[in-house]
Amino acid sequence: MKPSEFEEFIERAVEEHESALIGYAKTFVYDLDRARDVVQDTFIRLCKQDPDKLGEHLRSWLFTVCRNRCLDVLRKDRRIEPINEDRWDKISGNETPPDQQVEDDERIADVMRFMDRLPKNQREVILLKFQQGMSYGEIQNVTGLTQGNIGFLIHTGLKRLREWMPMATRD
Amino acid sequence: MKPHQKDTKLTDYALGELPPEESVAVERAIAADPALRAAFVETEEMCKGLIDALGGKKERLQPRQRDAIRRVAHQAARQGKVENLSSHRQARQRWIAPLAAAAVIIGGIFLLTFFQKPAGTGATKPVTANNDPVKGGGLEGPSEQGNVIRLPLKASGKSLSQIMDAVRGEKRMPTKGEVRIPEMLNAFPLKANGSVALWHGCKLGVEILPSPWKPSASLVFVEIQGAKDGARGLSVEYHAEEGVVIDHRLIGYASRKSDSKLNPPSEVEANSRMLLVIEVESRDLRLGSLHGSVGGREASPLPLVREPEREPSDDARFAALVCAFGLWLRGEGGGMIDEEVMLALAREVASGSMVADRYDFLNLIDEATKLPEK
Repeated sequence: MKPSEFEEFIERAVEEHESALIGYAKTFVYDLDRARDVVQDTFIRLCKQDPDKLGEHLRSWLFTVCRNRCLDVLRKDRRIEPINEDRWDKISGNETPPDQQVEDDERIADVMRFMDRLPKNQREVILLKFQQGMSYGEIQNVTGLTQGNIGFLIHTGLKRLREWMPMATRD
Repeated sequence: MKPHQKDTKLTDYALGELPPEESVAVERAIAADPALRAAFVETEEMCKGLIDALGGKKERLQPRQRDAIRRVAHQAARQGKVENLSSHRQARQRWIAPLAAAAVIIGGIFLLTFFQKPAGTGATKPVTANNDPVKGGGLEGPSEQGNVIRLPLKASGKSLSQIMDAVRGEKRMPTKGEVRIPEMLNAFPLKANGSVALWHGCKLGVEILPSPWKPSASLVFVEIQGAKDGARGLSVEYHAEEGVVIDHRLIGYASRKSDSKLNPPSEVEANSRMLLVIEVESRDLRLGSLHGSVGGREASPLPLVREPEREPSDDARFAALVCAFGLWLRGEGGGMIDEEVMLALAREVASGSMVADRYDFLNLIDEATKLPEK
């Protein structure tokens, strides 16, 4: 790969995956700036990889590295407690128009409050599925769980959410 | 098929995760069983609701973070590959040997400084800036008047890339013009972890740590953040504590005396961030204060008082290392910053959980110290 192609490859990867990775990292580290730092680090690690070897697994690779970095950060900070309502409100970003932003933030904060009540493994697979739009196969690559287990965790997680969440939040 | 298996398959089907043959079986079951059909509709709605609620938020990296990634990508593309991450640990081990020697040197410097320092007169000395005028790179210089410095609020440029190109690509020490410390500092997303002041939407963060290369001085690490909801006309001044501060300078900037009235407030963009380091030598823990105004409205001054018991944050230590490296490259360490001191500082900030671009910076220091001529 020519140097210019390599730089384009990285640029494209950032463009396509940064938002999804920040959203994913945020659910681990509960802080937007910290999530951005983790994602920056993930892309810097990507710069050290051979794109040809990654092939079609780029997305899974990015999420796996991002996940491991988040776990490193958590291990260091011991920030493993679920987030409370105020903190979810605080970490919401500010790049959409104010009215829309308030609405989005409230909606996300509402859903995440219920998500935080789920066991960790259920919460993670549901976020990978519904926030990142990953297939069971991709979730398997990132988490190491079997596809059968992933399906079961999502199913039971959804069932619980359905019991807890009021109709308005679901819609 | 048992009921719970049927339920799980229903979710898999709603998510499009069933192979075609099983999908057909589930579709038949749904068609034949109204209760199952109702359960399917409910599952599907739940899935749509979650996708809608969780998938809509699009956060992006900060421009400086994108720049950092581009810089590393550029280096990697030029060199075939940048160093493997595992080598960072090996590189760190290289710091261990010089550490003991550096500790002895720092101790010696401290004792020398301590015993040679003349008794203070109580008068505030005018600003002495040791730096040459900083050229290029879009730097906006500070204004100084007596014991006041009006702080610059912009530092955009590619000094760090130029240093990397020189050290790694051309195997030479960068020129003074290529080493612009404010740009180096602002290439990293560093945060001040101390006092905070909110100034009409803008935010000032301050962290004070002892200067690693000059025990009698403190480093005041200032983080200035633009307002979230739009640009502001901002002015920030450092006022040295009268009768207490012996000397002070804004690291990386030339001394340019001018009337602050002729230097109007700068327009600071929304969400922008600027990092500065002021070196202050004081007779006690009071270092002065930050004053300023936002959109013509005076803001409450932020006092600067060093807390000796407070442990500096990783970011502040790293900022001190960046300054030390920049001063060393520019030959402005005043005899206080040599290779040993710098390697000791690098060892101090290195940790297993350090982000990759900071590791890369440690390697850059290592590579620079190994270049033949300085």
